[in-house]
Amino acid sequence: MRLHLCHSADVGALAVQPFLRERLPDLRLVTAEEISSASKWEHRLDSHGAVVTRAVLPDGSGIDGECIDGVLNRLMSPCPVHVLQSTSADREYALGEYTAFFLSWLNGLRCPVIGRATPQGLCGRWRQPLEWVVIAQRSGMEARVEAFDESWTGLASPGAGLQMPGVTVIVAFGKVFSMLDIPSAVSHACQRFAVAADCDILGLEFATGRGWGPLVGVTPVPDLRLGGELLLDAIAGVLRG
Amino acid sequence: MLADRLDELGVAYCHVNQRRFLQAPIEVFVSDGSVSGRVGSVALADARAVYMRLANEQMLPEVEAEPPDSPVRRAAADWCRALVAWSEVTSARVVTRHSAQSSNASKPFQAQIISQVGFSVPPTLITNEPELAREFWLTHGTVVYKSISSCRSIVSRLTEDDIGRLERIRWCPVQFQAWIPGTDVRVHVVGEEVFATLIESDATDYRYAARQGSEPARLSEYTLDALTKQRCLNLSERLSLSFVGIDLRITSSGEAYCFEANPSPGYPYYETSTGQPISLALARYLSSA
Repeated sequence: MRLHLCHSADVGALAVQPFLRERLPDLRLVTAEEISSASKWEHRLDSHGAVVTRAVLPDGSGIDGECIDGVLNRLMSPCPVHVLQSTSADREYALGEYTAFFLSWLNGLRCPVIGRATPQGLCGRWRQPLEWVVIAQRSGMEARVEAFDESWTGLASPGAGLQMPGVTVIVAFGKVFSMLDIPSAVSHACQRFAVAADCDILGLEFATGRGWGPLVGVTPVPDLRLGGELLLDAIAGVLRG
Repeated sequence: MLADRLDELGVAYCHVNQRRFLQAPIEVFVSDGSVSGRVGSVALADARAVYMRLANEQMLPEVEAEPPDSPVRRAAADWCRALVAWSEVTSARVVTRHSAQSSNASKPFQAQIISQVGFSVPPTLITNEPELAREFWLTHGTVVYKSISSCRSIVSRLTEDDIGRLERIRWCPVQFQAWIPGTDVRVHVVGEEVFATLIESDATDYRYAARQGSEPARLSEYTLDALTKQRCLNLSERLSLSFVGIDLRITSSGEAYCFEANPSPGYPYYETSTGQPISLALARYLSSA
C-alpha cells in the first residue's frame, strides 16, 4: 500500500489522485482529518530506536508502517476534529502533542516519502520570507522581502482553475516541471534554489509582468496539476522506490 | 554568568534585551544574497557570534496584559520573528539557531536521531488506546509518562490510580516509556568541550524533587567513558547544537541511555552546584568565532 496524505480541501492534491492511481493502483488517499481521528495508534520505539507504527482509520481499515511502500505527504498540520472542539488551553496542548507525534511517525517511515516531515513543517520545511529571499538571491533569482507573499501557501481554492495570479513552477527530484516554457537561466536558478532549500518538492511563484518577475512565494505543497503529466510520472517513479 | 565570563576574557559584546523591542527596533536588509541591518544601535553585520535565549514574546511583562492582537503584541512578535529569521541566514556563529533547536519539538522524533549515534533510548509507546498502554505497563513493570512535544511536563510514574483513568487517552495520544534504572548524568557539550555532571536523587524527575516528596538532588562532577563522550560529541554535531544539554541515564552495566538533547540548556544550576566551567567554555566558544 502507498499513501497520499493531504487535507480534505487540498484541491491541488485531490484533483491528481485519480491520475496518480492510474500509475500506482495501490495509492490510497487519506485525509488529514481521517488520519487525525485514527484510533488504536501504536507508535513504538525499541531501545535501538527501531520504529513500529500501526493505527485504525475511522472506516475500520488498518495502517501498518511495515506495509507502507511509499508516501506522498502533504500534511501541513493534524486536524483532530474532536480536539478542535475543546477548550483553547486543551486544544493548544493537544494540537502540539499531535504535531509532535506525527513528526515522529512520518520520520520513522522507511519507505520513500515525498514531502519529508521536518520540525519546521510536517510536509517540508517552511521558512520566513527573509530566508527564502536569501536563498533565491544566492541562487541567481530576483527576490525582495517586501514583495514576498507570506500568506501564499500554494493551495488552490475550491473551484480555482490553473491560472494563478503569478506563475508557479514546481521543482522536484532535481528537475523543473511546468506547463509553460521556462528560460534555461530561470530553470537552472530554480534547481539551485531547490538544492539549497533541501526540500523534496517545492512550488515557486514568480510575479508576472515583462519576462519573468521576481520570486514572490514558495510552498512545499504546490498545486500538483501545474506540473503536468511528467510530474505525475516522476512522483509515481519515486514512490515505486 | 556568561556576561561575567566574557568580561573576564576581555571580550567586547553587547546585550540586546528582548524586552526593549519597542525602544530597539530591528531592520534586516538583503542585497545580492548578503544580509545587513540593525537592532537598535547595533549593526548586525558586525556580529561575529550570537548567543540567543529568547523567551515567548507573548509572555513578556511588557506584553502580557495587552489585549489580543494589540499593536504592542504584534510588535513583540514581529521583532522576534525578524531576529530569528536573521539568525538563520547570518554568517555569524549562532548559539543556537531556531531551526536547530526545533528537533526538541518532538521527543520521539529526537529519540530516533539519538539512537542513530549509538545511544540506547527507553522503550517507548505512544498510543491513544488504553489497552495497549495497560499491556505496556504490564510488560515493563515500571512505566513513566510524559509529553510528546517540547511542552514542559513533569515525568511521572504510571500508578494503579492512573490505570483507572486511561480511557482519557483516547482524546489525545500519550507517551509512555519503560523506566530505566540507573544513574542520571547531565552532559553539557560546548563546541568540542564536554562537562558531565552526576545527579543523585530518588525522585522520578530530579528537577521536581521537592514536588515529588524527595530531597533536593546532589550534583557532582562525573567522568564519562570515552565511547559515551564521543557519542555526546557526535550527537551535538548531528543535531547542529554546538551548545547542548544531554540527559543520560547510565545503568549498573554501564549502558548509556539518552533521554533528550536540550537545545537551550539551563546550565547555571549545574555550574553553581559543581563549579564546572560551562559558562567559561561558552564564552571561549563564542569569542573564538
